Amino acid sequence: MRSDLLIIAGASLLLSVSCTETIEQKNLLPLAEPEYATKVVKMSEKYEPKSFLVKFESVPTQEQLQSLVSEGVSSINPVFVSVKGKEALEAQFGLDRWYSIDVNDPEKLDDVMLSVASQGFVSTVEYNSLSEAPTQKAIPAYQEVATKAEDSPFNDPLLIDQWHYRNMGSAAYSRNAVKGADVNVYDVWKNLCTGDPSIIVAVIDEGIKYTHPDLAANMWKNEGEIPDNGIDDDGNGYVDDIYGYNFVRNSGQIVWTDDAASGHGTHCAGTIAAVNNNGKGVSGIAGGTGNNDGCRLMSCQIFCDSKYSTMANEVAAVKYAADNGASVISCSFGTPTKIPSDNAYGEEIMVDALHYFEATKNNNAIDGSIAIFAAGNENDNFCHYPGALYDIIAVSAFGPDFLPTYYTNYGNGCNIAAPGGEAYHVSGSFKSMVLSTVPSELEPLLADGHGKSDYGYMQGTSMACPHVSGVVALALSYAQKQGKHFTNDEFKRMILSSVNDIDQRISKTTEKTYAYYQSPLKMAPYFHQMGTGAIDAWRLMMKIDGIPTSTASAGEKQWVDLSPYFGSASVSLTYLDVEVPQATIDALGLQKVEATSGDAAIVSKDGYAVVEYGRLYIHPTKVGSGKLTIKAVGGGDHLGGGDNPTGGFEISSEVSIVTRSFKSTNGGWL
Amino acid sequence: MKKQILFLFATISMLFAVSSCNEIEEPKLETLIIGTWDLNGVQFTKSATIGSETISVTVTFNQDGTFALTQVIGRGRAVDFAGTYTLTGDVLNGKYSDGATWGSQYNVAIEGTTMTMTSVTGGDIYSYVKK
Repeated sequence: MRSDLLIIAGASLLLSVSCTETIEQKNLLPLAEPEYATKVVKMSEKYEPKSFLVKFESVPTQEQLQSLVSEGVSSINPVFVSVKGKEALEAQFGLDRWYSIDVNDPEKLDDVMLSVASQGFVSTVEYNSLSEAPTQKAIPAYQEVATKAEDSPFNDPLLIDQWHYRNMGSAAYSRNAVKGADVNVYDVWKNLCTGDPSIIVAVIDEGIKYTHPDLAANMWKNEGEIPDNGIDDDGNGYVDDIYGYNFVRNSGQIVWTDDAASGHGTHCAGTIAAVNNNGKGVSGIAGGTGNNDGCRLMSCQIFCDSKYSTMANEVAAVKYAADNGASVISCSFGTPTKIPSDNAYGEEIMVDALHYFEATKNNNAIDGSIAIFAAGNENDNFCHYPGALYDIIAVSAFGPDFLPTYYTNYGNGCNIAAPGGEAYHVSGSFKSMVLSTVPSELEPLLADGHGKSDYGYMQGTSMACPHVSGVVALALSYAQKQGKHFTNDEFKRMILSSVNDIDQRISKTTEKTYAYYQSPLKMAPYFHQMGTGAIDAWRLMMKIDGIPTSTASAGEKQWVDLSPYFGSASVSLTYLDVEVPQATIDALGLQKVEATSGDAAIVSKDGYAVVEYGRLYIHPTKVGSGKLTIKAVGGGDHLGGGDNPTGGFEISSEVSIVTRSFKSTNGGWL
Repeated sequence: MKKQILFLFATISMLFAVSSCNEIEEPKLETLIIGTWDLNGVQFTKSATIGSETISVTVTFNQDGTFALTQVIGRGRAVDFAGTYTLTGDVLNGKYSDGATWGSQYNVAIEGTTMTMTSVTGGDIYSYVKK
């Protein structure tokens, strides 16, 4: 990790020399930096100037902490609040070794950091990086006209405009709307599940307006805490934290009308779990049926009063979510910097916090919890970290036309796509954005004389992220209902393979035209770059119900469709391996087959199975049943992690095949 | 004792019923097939068994020539199909509502509550029990 960082630091030094120094100065040799300087990690030019973060080689002694107190240091405090009963997990991921050091003089920050780094018992010294707060204001939506589609599952009047849940291809929200460009949740609501109050989603963002008429009933409430008594009643390390915690003000009071507020957190929350079927406003993906049965929303406020959040607050929020029952964190923030690999991502404190979160079990469906991040909105061909970490899910955005949006980041590290909306594109309408809840106190854009509203349109991967968070919450609810249990990795693989093919409409020549942009946007660069595909809630529930079994006929070479296992994007995935156990070769009487696509094909070790063109090619000669395992990449064209260039993680699926003497084309038994 | 008498009475009644039936025409296959049948056995001709996979199939043949099928193959979820069928002599054939034809035609034999369907393609034998 550090060698990569050195290269980056070296490159930027060279750049600054060539840009700013005189020719004479260029000939001077720089002073050699001490070796311990490599412990100092700066991932962003934007950082909090009065503090920095330190990881010790082991839990520091009082003497060691005391030795760091110098003229420039004003205080040293643990970054993470330790919770009774969680000590072992905290130690496992090193959270008990992270401290925040405050400095007296911001001008001396670098010197103090270097001095601390010189200590042998110090492992890493990180700048307290800043993430930019959202600034987008909502375009208001009004619910005077209570319209309801005939087959609408709920009576929420604005659900009809939430194309991102079910897109019927209506010109009402976009002239280029494509039927099915949504998260396909209607049938799940009608037939399977609408949420579960035991599944908590923490929105790490601006504060959620917990009194919102369409959110209040689905807010998580810390029952162990007595409001406003100034006491940490439940002993979780936080005072008066009822709906979450405001990490910026270090207060239990969540706010949504501070000077920097945009309504971003409240908007994300509504997508995840606005109360369904209450006759008000919008619906939320895991919002229940209006009978107090939706998933719960926890507000972890990291944006408040300022244009930035600090790394220290972000990681504290992640741990708070883990320690207080969240099964999902929805994180629409990140670092808009191109970082070449996971090992070059120097924010070790965030990696530790996320791994702690994902190892924390807060539900009966999976062994841990799931973090979801937005990919970023710079139209860059890389994903923001930490979402780009190979084992963390990052979400890119598509519009109602089922094409990548003009702003979405894409490329390696992007694992999956979801609706993010796209203002005024070919439709010329703001209804092509994402509709959700907003704080009515905030001044909206384009109110058009109607005044303020509880509902509004926003766009971004920030909006795509909570769609996936909501679907994951719904899936956890359904898995619990069905009594199913999965490992975290299994569940992530199921999420990433429960997709529709977003590449189907992208060709080398596809261009997207905009009402207010002069030049059209070429779609070719996005091909195979939006993750495994577009999240599909129904497919995920089907995966929870059971892994499908394919049928084949004995006596002929044939192709087996892999979309039941990897989603309809199976044709465009990068496959890594196909493993055929000897028992399966014997049971199905498999004969060797030859690939037709050369190097592009993945051939099993003994040549009994080939994966090419996104399908499995086999030649069974006996009736019976057998299993084989196929591995692919979820989130890029290669595996990420470690020193690998930013990429995805391995998704594997066991493919079960029953061969008979014949088969019907639609999989029916007869 | 009372129960035994009742049982005897029932048996006599049944015998009477059977002997009565003998006097009329034997029910046709077209009539016998009507009802709901559960797959309870698979006998492949080529080799092997169904292996480790559990197959659950329930098919209902209706008087109006339609059928409904629910299948669970292996660990998959229940999937419903529907369509139409024809029975010509003892040859059963059908088409799914999505237009796909059955994978095979079958020779059908029914004895009591057991129906045997032998696929014309390949000769696999499937036995069903009436619900």
